Amino acid sequence: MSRSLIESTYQTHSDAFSKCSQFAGLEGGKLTRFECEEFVEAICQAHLHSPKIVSFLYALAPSHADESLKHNVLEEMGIEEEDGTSHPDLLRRLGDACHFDTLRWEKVRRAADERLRDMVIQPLMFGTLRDVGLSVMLEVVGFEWMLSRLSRRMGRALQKSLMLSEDDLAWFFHHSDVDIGHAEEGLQATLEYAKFYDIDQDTFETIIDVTFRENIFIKRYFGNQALAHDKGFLK
Amino acid sequence: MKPVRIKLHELQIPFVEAFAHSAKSRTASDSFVVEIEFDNGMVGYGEGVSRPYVTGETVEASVDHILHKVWPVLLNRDIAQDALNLCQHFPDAIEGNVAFHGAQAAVELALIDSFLRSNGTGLHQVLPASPEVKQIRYSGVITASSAEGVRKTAKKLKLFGITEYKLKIDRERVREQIACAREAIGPDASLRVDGNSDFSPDEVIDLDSEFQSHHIAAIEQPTPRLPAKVWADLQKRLSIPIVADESFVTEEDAISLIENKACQIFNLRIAKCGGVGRLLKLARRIKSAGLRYQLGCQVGETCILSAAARTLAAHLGDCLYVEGSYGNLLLSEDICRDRYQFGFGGLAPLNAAVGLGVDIVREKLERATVRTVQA
Repeated sequence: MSRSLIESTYQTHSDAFSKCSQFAGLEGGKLTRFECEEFVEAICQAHLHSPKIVSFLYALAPSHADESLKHNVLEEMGIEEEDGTSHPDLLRRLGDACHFDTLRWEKVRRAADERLRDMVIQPLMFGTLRDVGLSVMLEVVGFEWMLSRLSRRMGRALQKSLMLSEDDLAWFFHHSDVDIGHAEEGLQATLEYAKFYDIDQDTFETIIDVTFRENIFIKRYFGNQALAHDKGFLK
Repeated sequence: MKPVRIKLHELQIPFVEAFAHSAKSRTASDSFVVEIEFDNGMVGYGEGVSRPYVTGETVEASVDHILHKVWPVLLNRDIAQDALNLCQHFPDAIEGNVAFHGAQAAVELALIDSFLRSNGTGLHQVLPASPEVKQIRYSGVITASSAEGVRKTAKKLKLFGITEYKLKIDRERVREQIACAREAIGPDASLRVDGNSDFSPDEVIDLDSEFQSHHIAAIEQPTPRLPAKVWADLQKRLSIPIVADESFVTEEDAISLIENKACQIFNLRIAKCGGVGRLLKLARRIKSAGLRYQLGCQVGETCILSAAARTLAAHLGDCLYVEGSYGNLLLSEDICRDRYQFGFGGLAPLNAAVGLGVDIVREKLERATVRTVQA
């Protein structure tokens, strides 16, 4: 399996994300407070259930390759963190700093649940759990890879625009610090997963193609319309 | 049960990936949704698609036709008699060169949806599935592109367990497109091609040996709309069946194609044929002539047309191929809550819900709408 193919895919998509007009607007301080808060909301929706998703991957990983995923799950849940704060709690801290009220949190939670429901209920396009697992793994590691390179920039931008403290933005700065390691371990775990489950090169490449047929970073953080505009798909 | 209010939503739903054939490349759905409210509070939804190169309709003309020709006939009229013959109340759908079939299909579907919902029944109960049909098998469609693009799409669809494929071809790249598709899907999968009117009869004949060597099952709309006698000659000289699509819009088209033995297969599409009632009538005519049909779809259709078509595919039971239900494989967001698309193997369960079989989420519909008009 080609590690360079995965990394070049992540690089291409991360570059496109960092060059999209919304990201530029965020970094350039051109987004309104409302738009910045919508961005925070999207981040929370996208990652509120991440401990569950990483647990799913841990469940599928072969025993010789599950150590890094186990560590990742425990860290997501705050068990292996110094201050015992789970990643969803870091997101809640971020939302609270943005003065999200109960109603707004309820909206975020509902949207995150709806995404989880969609993932579980939608017809499976792959024929085996093996292929589903690889696709999810590629996506999760892809986010870690992108966050390890861009989350500090996003955090700094929000710090300026919303006047938040480093502590409020711990989710961003934490990912910037730990995700370099996570992404590295994730890449290795992905390759071992593919080897253990006998995924041939052709299938591997096709699953990468399916998983990254659109820019999931722009889609999750800025929405379908932003992605469509970025691709020139809307008049 | 009388219709009291109509609302037309013109949609623009971005695609996940661009979809191309020789005549057009699309990046967003431009369907329109008809929402009809009744005096009992019931609301029904229908969907239409306008394709100038198929029926002559544009979205603007369809909306105008609905508001000024169809709606005045329906307003406050008791339609609670026969949901499937509602089209007989509509004015003639043909105006000059334009068949307002997309417009009339959309209104018909909205009436059927609300009528059935009022009675707590589903279209699948009015048009029950043929006993042998337990699920629907959909074809995968490979968009017209470079050899590499064809290979990539074909491989994705193969990974999804698809066994029947339709390949969009264009004149410049047809040979490599066919070769790449066949190589990617393997020798046993069913492969047919769609010319989307891009070829002349002579060019089609030149390709016949290519079709034979790659085991092409049929060719859809190889040339632009031509006199049926020209197609009859082409069909005689060609080793594979011709599927009539853009050449087959009205009942008169069907009669002419049948009488001239101009094709062997007909592509039925709800929005192209003018609704469920007209489509069933056409299917009966084709069947009684001893010919075959497939049930096609419109690129970018939402769950509304997909749901109605799935019930029809199950009811007819003998469609050679079924297309559609691409849902979120193509649309970045559909307008129903749960994805309405086939799964692995191109397989999808039969409809079992009330109305047309899908629940529209208002928030999603509004997000997809770029213009609304109402009366």
